[in-house]
Amino acid sequence: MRPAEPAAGWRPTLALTTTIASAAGLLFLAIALHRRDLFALAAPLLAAVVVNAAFRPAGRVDAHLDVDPTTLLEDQAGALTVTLDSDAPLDVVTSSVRTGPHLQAGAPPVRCGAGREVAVRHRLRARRWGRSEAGPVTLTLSAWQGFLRREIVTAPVRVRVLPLREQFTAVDAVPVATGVIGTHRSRRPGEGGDLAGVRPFAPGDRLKRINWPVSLRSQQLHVTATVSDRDTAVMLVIDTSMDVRAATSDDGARGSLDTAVRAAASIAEHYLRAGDRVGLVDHARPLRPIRPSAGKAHLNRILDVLVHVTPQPMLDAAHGRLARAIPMPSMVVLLSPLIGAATRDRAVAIARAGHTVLIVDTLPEHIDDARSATWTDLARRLQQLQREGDIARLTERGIPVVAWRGPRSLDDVLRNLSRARRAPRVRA
Amino acid sequence: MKRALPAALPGPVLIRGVLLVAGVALMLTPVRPNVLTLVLAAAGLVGVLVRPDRTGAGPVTLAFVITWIVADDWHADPSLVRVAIAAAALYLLHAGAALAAVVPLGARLDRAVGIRFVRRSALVLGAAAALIAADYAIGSRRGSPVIELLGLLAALALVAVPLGRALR
Repeated sequence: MRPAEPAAGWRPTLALTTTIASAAGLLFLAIALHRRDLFALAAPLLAAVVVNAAFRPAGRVDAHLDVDPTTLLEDQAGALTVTLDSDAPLDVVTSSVRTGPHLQAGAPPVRCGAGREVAVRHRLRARRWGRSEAGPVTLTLSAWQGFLRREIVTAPVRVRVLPLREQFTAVDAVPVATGVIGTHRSRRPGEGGDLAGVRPFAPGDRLKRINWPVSLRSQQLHVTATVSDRDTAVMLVIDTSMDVRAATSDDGARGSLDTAVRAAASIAEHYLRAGDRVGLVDHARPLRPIRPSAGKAHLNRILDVLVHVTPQPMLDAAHGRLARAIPMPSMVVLLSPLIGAATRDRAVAIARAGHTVLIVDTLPEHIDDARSATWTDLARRLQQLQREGDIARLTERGIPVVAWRGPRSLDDVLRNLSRARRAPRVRA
Repeated sequence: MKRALPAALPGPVLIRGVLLVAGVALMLTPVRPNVLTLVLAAAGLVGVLVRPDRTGAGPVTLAFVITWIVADDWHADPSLVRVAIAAAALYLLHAGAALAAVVPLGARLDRAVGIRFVRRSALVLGAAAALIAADYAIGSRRGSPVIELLGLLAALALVAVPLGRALR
């Protein structure tokens, strides 16, 4: 038989004190007043202490916390399971879970089990993208029908909540096609899938390209010309210098940064699935940019960086670093609420460097004005006028600004940009 | 600041129901319940129902014992049925308060908790019934003061020894 270990950590509850005091008082009165009915009243309380003492808790108690899965999407549900392994049977195991701000424990947050091996399962729901912790879980162990009590606090488990990616799609047209293979139609003739036209046969043309119906009609050999397929490098520039909260936010989970992160995730997923290369850089702190690359692993890397995004002030040396972080030639998608001159100036500077720039406006439609004061309205109107002026100037310079509306948000702008890039250029 | 109350679930409500029934039974079992002690018992019962971890079964027990002793006179001999009901109710009050203290109203309870509670309570009440039967079978009420004192010490030792071992 395994020797019982000291019941370390167990402490008596108020219920035990009350029961013993009641039993002792009734016994004393029974003897003093010579009343056996009082002894009878004390008997169950005495028996409770004696019988429960036979089931005294001893030995080790191990608690283990498990979260499945540890990576969740926003609004996705997961499970948090607390497994308790005890040498002695436990009467009640009360499990109470606390979570970080990005997670929510499903109702009820407190659950009770009993026995030697207790598995208590809590539901988890991901509320907002970001890094969070599931736990700690406080386990209140009770023995002796609640007369003895012990608490165990488990270490929390890290959970990653990925931004919810809308089923973002965009037209095939991209203004900047680079590389030698890919899925996008370029403006150069070559081996590809998209029809460029029918032209007379020239030395070097492949025989399988001969267009026989046209050749028969014209009595001259013609070939079907195609444009080559190229890939593109999309550089996502996310503006973390401010987070403008929306007025209609639920738990404060909707703001310009939320829109920017979700849009960046959607755009990255779309282009990476199409076989393109996507990079990411923080507009405010371009210290560790992610260079454009392709593949599913790269999407995970981008999402991992996105969940760490927090609002932070802009670095003084950000402009120089940002210019170096964007490889030539790239299609730059800048996600910003466009408040202040710094973002506008940098977008112009990037465009001047030869990149195609597209700005996704992430400013919420209705801004949270919880801290409104006397001049707030006027200041907001002035700022709005300034912002509208900035957007107009950016558009004049060939930098389109489009509000994020989910799938197909960028179609018109991408088409126009592609058309503009294909147009002949006249240098003065 | 507005604080949302947790929604009560059937398990914890059932435990508090047992507490309520035991408390009401304790208030009604004395032959002539006293208004003052009834009020004290009712207040204690509300306290233990609302905050079982803070109030405990002490106030209700105190009010009940006072009412029980002074119901007829100091040397009354109530019927065995009445005594048995009161003893069972007193035990359920204490055990229920102990359980309610560790089970919040918003907790979801596994069946295992209820089964263990019922089985342990049956065991305790069985042992208590044996003790009461033995006491009533002996039948003698009075002994010498020395024997009575030794009996008291033995009874206290019966509680103290296992308790001390468990908490060592």
